[in-house]
Amino acid sequence: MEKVILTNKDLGLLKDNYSSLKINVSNNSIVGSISFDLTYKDKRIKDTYQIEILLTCGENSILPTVKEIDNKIIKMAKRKKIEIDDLHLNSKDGTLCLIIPPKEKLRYPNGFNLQEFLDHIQEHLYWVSYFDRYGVQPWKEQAHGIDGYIELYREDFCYRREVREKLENSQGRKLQRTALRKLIKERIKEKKL
Amino acid sequence: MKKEFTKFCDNLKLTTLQNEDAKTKYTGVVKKLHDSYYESNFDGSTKFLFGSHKTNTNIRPITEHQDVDVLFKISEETFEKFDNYESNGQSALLQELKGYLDEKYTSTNKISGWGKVVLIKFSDNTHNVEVLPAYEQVNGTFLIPNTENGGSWDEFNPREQVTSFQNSNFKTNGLTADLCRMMKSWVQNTETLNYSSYILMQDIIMFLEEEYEEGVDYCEYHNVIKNFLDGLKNNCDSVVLKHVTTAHNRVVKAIEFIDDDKPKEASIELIKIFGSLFPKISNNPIKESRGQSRVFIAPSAPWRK
Repeated sequence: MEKVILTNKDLGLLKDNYSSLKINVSNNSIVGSISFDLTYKDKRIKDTYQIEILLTCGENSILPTVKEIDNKIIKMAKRKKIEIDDLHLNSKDGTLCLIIPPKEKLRYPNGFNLQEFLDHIQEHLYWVSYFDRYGVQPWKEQAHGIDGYIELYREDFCYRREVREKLENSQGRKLQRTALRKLIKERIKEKKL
Repeated sequence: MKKEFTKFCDNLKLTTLQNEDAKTKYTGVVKKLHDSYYESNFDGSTKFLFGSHKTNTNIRPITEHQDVDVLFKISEETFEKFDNYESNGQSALLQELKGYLDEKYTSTNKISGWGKVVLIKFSDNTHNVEVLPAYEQVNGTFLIPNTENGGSWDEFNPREQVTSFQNSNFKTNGLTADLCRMMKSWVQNTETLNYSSYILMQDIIMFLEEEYEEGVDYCEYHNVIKNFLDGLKNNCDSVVLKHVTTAHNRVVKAIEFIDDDKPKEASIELIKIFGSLFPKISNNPIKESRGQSRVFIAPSAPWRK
């Protein structure tokens, strides 16, 4: 996995604006509490989470992986009697499911940027806090797993190459255009995407 | 709203005078029974206090529905005497207790014995005492009379209740007692809600064990209440659900006001839940903080693998 290198500007940003997040040199991470005061469609939420940002990129991603280390999200899911994946916490490794990889380029057109990434984490945690408070999503989540890629296929032509690759990987074979379309149609019908 | 929650929790606690009054009443009841059943002087060893007076989770304002729960320990001889009755010795035991108490308490106090207890309703209608005659077994549990269906003895373990409360309260640094008192005030303030104090306490202990094992500061109490009610929504019957949903919606509204730096409006919502012992805030801070909130319009959709 590729390491994320922080610049002096990034270090200054942490020191000046996120003083409760500290660099942990021993395991190449940023650890601490992240608070936010965010408003989306006139709904203002203030909240705080304890996180650990592991400065290595996730699979097929340019972004570091993030864990919520106080188990606040796990406790939420337990209380609501829902799966932790429904709160976008990866049940396998406890990392936040921030974004589908093909969309990273849209959010990070110039590659990884710490300020943008911290904003992104805060907005993601806003989604979680909103769901906790109101029991509904503040904005639509991407469909889970491979279905998220199928959504992208329909959403924008520019993602088609990545979607094809993903579907071919999932099928374990190359797909001709007609086979690809058929597969997508079936999936859309089956999952009501 | 740290200051308001601190004050609210304080407002709910009984005053020293109220505690003294309760103590005088239940001690008087048990002493009378002790003097009727034992030759020894009363030293308190035949009394076992349990319920909210033991856990100190009784709340103000005192109403006629708040009883002091106390066990009166009967001797083996007394237990055997009534156990040997051909039918419903348990009812006879309660009637005997009632008879002894009638000797002490005047006609202005009402004494009734049914089910498992004798209830002494005092003329001032406060700190009514529910006394259960109980035979203490070697393992520390009690046998208490049940007069229904011809009479039987039920095993009762108030020590376990008290210990589980005390352990939780110690671990959460007092949050268990505070939340019990706050939620009792919600129950008291919700006329048609029937939620026994014992079940409420158990629900609270379980909830805190899952979510706030080490307790939290007063400034987080609004979230604790919201989360408790949220959890309750998934664990209660439809009759209770209506009340839980109303209270949950109100606390969510209060939190919206708190987040928007409008504590005055938040306090009004909290008063709707808990009644007038929650402090009313008369003014909001002059400085508008709305501008400090970052507005975002095109968030990324979360996705899981």
